Amino acid sequence: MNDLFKMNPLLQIRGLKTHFCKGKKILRAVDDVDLRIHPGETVALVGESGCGKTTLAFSVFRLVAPPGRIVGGAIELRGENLLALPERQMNAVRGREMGLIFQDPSSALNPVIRAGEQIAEVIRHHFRENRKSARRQALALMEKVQLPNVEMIYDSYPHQLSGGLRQRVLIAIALAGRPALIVADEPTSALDVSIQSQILALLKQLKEEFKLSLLLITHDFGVVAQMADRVAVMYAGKIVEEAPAPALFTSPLHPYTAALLQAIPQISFSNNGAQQELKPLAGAVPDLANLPSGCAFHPRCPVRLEECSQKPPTNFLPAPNRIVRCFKYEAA
Amino acid sequence: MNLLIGLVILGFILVLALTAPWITRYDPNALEAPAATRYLSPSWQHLFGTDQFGRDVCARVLHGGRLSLCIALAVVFGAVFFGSLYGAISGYLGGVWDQLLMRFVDMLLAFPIVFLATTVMALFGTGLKWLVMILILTSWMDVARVVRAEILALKARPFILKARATGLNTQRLLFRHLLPNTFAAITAIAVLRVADVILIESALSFLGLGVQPPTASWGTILNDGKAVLATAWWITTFPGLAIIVTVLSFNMIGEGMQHR
Repeated sequence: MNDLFKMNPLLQIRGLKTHFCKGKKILRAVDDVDLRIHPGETVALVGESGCGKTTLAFSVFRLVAPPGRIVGGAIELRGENLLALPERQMNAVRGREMGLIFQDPSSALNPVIRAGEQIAEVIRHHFRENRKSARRQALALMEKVQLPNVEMIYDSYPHQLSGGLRQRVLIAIALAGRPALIVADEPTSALDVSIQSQILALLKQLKEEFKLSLLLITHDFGVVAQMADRVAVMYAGKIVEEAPAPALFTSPLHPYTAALLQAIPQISFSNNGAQQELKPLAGAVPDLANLPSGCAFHPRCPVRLEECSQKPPTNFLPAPNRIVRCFKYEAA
Repeated sequence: MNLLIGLVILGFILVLALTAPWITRYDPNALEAPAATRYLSPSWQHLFGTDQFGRDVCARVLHGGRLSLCIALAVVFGAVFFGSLYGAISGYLGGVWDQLLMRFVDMLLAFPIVFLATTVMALFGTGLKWLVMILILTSWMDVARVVRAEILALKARPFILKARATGLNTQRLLFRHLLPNTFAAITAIAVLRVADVILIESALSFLGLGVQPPTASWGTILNDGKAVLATAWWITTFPGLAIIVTVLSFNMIGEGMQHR
C-alpha cells in the first residue's frame, strides 16, 4: 500500500468544485474534493444517494450538464490538467484515456443501434480502424468480458439482451478505447444479486488483465470490501474520510463512516439465535442548496463538539495514509 | 384502430390515383369538347359529371389526385429533410443558439402563407417548382420544432451521455445516436404534414397561386366549379370530398402513430 503512494498518481483531483446554480441558489454537489488514483489502484467512492458521487464522476469527464458547472479546482491526468484542455482535446481523452461505466445498463445503450456496433464504433473512432477490423476487435473484446455467443449478441439490439449481458456490453464499450482508467458509477446497483458478483469478479479480472485503475462509485460496502484498495467516503459534496480499505473497515475514524458501517446488515447468527442489532443513521442527507453551518454532518452526528456547527473542519491526518475531515481529530 | 382505418382508406386512394389512366378513359385536360357534353350531371357515363369544357370530373379528380399527392409527398420529404436537420442542430447546440434558431422559426410561423406565395409567384413565376418550394418553406418549421424537442429530451438520456463519454464526435453523436432515435416522432409529424400540405396546396391552387389550369389538381377543379356551385354542384363536391377523405386518412394515421 505504501509503495503506491510513492508513485505518481494517474488521476489527481485537487480542490474540485462542481456547483449547480439555480437562480440565486447554489447547489454545491462537489465541494473542494481532493482524490488521487494511482496506476493499478481501485479507489471506492462511497456515500448515500445525493451526496455528489455521480456529479464527481461526470466532472472527471467534463460532462456535467448545465446548470451544473465546474467552478474550481483541477483534474490532472498524468499531470495534465483536463480542465484546461480545449473541448476538442478533451474529447480525445474521453473513452481513450478513461472509460465510464453507467449505473443502469438498460438505459445506457442506444436502443436503435446493434449492441456490437456500439462497441465497434468506439474502436473505429479512436483507432481509425475500418469496419471489418473494428468488428473483429469488438468481438474479441466481447469474449474478454465473457459474453456468450458473441456473434449473435453483436447483432442484437439492446432490448433483446438481459441486464447482465447489457452491463457486459457497456463494460466492453468502456474498454474499447483501451483506457488506463475506468470510472464505474454504481456498476452493479441495477442488477440482480447473483449477477452483481459476476460483474464484480469480471471487473476485478479485467483490471488485472488490462492494468486498469478503477474509480468505483457505490453506496454498497459489500462492493467496497470485495474490490477496493482505498476508500473515500463522501458526504454532502465533500470527502469526509479517506483510508485504505482494510483500515476503514476495522477502525473508521469519521463518525459518519462509523455510522454507515453500523447500518450494514450482517449475516451472522450467534449461538442463541439473536442477531446483531442494526443501528440506522438518524436524519437524512441535507439539501445541498441549504447546508447546515460548519460541518454538514453535525446535525446527525452523535459525537459533535461545540465548534462543529460554527466552522467547517479541514482535513486532519491522524495516522499514516489516513485523512479525515472532523474536529475530533484536530488534536491528533 | 384509427391507424388501421386510415391506412385502409389511404391505400384505397393511392391505388385509385396510381391506376387513374386505366380506370378512366377520358382525358382530364382535353379542352375541345362539343358543347353538348358541357355541365352534364353525374350519370353512368360520367360518374362525377362534366365541367364547363365538357371534361370528365371523375377523370380530373383521379388525375388531380396524382398531382396533389405527388406535390404533398415531395413537399413533406423536403420539409422533413430541412426541418429535422434544423431542429436537430438547434436542440443539439442548446442555450442561446437554440433560442435564436427557434425564434426564427416562430417568426416564419407567423408569416402569412398566401402573402408569401403571391410574392414569390409574382417575382419568379408560377411553375410547379416554385409551388413546391413555397410549400416546403412554409411547412418545415413544425418538423423542426418536434425534432428539437425530441433532441433536447434525448440529450439528457444516459445512452447519449455514454456516447459522449466515449469521445464520439459531434457528427456521429448527431446523425448516428440522436437523429435515428427521433424517427418515430418524425414519421408521425410527417404524416400529419402531408394532410396540411394537401389543404394548403388546394387552397393556393383554388386562389390561382398554385397549379395552373388547365392542369388538374384538386384545388384547380374546385376553382373551375366555384362560379357554378349552384347549378353544377358536382364539379366542386367531388374534389372537395376527395380532399376531405385524404386529409382525414392522413390525420388518422398520424394520430394513430402518436398514440402507439
